[in-house]
Amino acid sequence: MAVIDCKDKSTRDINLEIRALLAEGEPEIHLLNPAGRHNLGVGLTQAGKLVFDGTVGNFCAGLSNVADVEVRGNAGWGVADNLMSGQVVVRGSCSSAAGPTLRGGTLVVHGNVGPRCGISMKGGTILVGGNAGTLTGFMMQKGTIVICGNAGPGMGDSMYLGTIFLAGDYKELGADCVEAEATEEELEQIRAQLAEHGLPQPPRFRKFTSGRRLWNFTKKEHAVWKAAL
Amino acid sequence: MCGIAGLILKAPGRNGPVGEMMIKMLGCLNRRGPDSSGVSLYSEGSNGYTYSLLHEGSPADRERALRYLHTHVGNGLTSGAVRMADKYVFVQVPAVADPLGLVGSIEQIEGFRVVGVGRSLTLVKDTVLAPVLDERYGVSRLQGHHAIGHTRAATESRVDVLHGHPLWSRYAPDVSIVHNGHITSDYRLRNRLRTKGYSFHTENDSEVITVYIADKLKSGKTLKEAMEDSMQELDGTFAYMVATAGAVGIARDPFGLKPLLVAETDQFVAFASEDASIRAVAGETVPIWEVQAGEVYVWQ
Repeated sequence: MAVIDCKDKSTRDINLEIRALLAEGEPEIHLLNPAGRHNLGVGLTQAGKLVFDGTVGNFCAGLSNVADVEVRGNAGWGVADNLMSGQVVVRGSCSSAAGPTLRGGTLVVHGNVGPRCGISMKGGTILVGGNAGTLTGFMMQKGTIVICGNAGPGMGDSMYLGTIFLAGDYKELGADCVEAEATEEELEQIRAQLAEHGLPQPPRFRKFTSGRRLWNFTKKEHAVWKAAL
Repeated sequence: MCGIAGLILKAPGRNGPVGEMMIKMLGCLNRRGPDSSGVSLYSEGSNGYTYSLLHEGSPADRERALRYLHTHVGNGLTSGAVRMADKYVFVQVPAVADPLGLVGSIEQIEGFRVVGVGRSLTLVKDTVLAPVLDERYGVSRLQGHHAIGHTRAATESRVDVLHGHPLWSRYAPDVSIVHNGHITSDYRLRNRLRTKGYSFHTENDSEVITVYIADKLKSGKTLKEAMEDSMQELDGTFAYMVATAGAVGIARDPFGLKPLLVAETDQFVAFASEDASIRAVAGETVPIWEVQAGEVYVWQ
């Protein structure tokens, strides 16, 4: 196991060091004193576990092809941005836009997520142990978001496709987000994923997806047009 | 992108090392805004009013302006204690009948701009990073009960001291704000407030928040009510803080487009744009929570 102390190092140097160690085949790297710094562990292209021993700032593990990242603290904005595969686990909470444009892999958040979690998501899975903020799954196109707590206003607003499973209550559904029937197979899969990551196991989940009314409409359909805007 | 930070000590009526804490917090936020830094610091137990005066001329011009201030403005100013630090002159006036009325007279003197007036408020800002602000104005030596601060990344108006934050309202002593974001309804609101007799002194869109809040407070609303009203009437992206002599309020826009985090310890409550800023004073282990979109909190 390799150790990098982030203190007194530039972000570029830390990221280059991570990249060099992974290229050498290092299986696990612990990063000490991340101190809320932005852009840590970005652009990962090789397998190997990264453990951040504390809170990270914005865009952690972003633009990564493959990731196995654990954050033992909170994460700022845009964690796991555009992740292609692997997993990013945040032990604390995340701020705005957790897992934006996620393409594959899994983002696990043990605490809460802020506004716009899974915005424009194009695949993969986001598991949230706590509550989600406003506009969860905004314009998502594919993939699954699971929220064990409650969701804020505008959940699933303008989603094209994809699925949101919610255990608690929502404040208000977003435009064209509708409730659907969850199959036992889907629920079984969620329960297994939650168990795998030691997340809560709420007794029930409701499934939400796109009503597909925003796929095709004309300006004459004023109500739909207004809702879409 | 700008950085905002604030803190309020829990012990009522007692001052503490708020200046030092704010400099630490702002030091972590300069990466969000390197154009200018500033602090509004509020102390308990001061008598009279403090005038925070900016003079960007030469030291000789500043001395001359100060002599003129003593000789010609009067109204108790001459008996005030004066502290000079680089571009600033802080004048303490034991008693003054019309504290805001003096502002116009002071600004008649060439070079002086009043950046803050209040019973508790000392306001200092400059186009420098937080450590330099401290070096020039000794912010970390200032004791206080609560404070708000700002690091600016200018996007909508020029980079100079007057366009930096915090912005004092000019229409209510002690009321100042820091803001991260853009107010897109700025022109509409300014015009509306102008018709009520208010005027504006910078092109900074954030100035409209100061006048908006001062107007609401003057109409008898509480700080919480004024800030809740702003959720309907301010358009754009914002996380902002308002400080008065006895309270600090924080608000986040209805879409949650700008960050705002809070932590509470036994001694104080701290709020900031970024986690690192709070941890600089509250430590690694303190739980930090995020203000949700559209929420307003006020600490008295």
